[in-house]
Amino acid sequence: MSSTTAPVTLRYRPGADVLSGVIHLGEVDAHQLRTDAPDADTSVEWAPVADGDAAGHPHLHRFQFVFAAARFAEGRLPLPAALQPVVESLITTAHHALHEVDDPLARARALANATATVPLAQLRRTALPALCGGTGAPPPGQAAAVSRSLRQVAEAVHRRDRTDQLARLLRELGSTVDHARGMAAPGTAAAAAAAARATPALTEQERHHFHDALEQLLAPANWQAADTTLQHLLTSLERAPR
Amino acid sequence: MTNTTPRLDQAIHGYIAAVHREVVRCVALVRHGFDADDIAQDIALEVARRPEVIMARYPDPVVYARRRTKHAGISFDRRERAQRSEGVRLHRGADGLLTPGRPYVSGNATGLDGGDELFATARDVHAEFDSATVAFLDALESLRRCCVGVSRADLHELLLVDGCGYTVLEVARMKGQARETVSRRLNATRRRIRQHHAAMPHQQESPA
Repeated sequence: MSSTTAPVTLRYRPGADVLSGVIHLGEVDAHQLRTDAPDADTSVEWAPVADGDAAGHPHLHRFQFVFAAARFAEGRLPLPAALQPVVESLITTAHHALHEVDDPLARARALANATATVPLAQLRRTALPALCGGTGAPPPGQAAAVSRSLRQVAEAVHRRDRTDQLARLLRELGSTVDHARGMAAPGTAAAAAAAARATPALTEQERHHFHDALEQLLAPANWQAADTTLQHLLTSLERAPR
Repeated sequence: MTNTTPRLDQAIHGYIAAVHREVVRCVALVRHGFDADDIAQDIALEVARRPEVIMARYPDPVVYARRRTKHAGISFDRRERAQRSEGVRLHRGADGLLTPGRPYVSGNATGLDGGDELFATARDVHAEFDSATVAFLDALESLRRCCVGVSRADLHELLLVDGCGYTVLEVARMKGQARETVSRRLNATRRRIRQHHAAMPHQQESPA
């Protein structure tokens, strides 16, 4: 690590769409590491830099993004600006390489690596507000209610569209918001939104409902509204089989 | 024509990917570096090797991932320690040189007629039933004879170090004692077991 930049090692699993990164900040005191989970799909670790102008200030030391490609496509991957082009290239190349691979084991094994150098100023905790705080808590019992609605919608989608991708993602979203005790899952929501846009089995109005519900799920304070939207969507899916 | 294989592949891939993601979600909160990714990959490959069995038993990949994560971290740490050669002791060979490895008997000795170490044999549930049962009883009896006169607490310490791969320092921290104290006690326990093992007739039949 120089006094103004830090090397970063990136690792991307295209099969699971998980991006991990470790920033080499030099000597780091393990007792001063702090882990944050701004949402269910993100975890970050902060460490104070030992020397230089920024000595003592917490800097990004490690990160993990679930559904990184889906979030990147929606412009919702809160990484330092210097890392954005490297991540884009890494994700695109990895998916291109895996495009025609059908074997589940080969897909599970696939791994792409990259290295980059990032200015320390972009790694400071204060420069990355989106990675600092949580998204607030939903009203009591709302996580379970939303999770139940998501599963019901997933079943209805499964009956309609046998390709199953959207239904699987909705089930995963339901399990994640329930298990994460009220944290939003923006990655899973982004992947479900992309799948909803891509499936031909939905009407325009149903797509619109999907979009609204998944947007509302990004803020736990809006989960009550999301639940209502999901119930409307469920009624629509069950009444008008295509 | 209905082509089921791509759909099955897709379902398996979807399940494996969901397991990987959930393990990352759980483990990333408590691990450093790329540990979360490595542990998630281990579990994902485990699913990929026998997907139908796991998918049938745990239809929800998130539930499977959360159950599996509890033990995967321990296995991962043990393997990491082994790869760093922690816990490997130097012993003097016949040529007088020091080589890493264990002498023929430590706390975890080989069975009476060679083969697997006792701790491994005693917990091996995958061996064929007949031989496994006999070996299991043999191993337990040998282990019991080796451990006569050793207190339960000392045995527990020994199992942690020789059986589970903890370092002496970690066990000392657990007990709130100095590393040297635990190390001395472990050596005494090993010595006693070694004496009992040496006193056993090596080619005797299984105990009645």
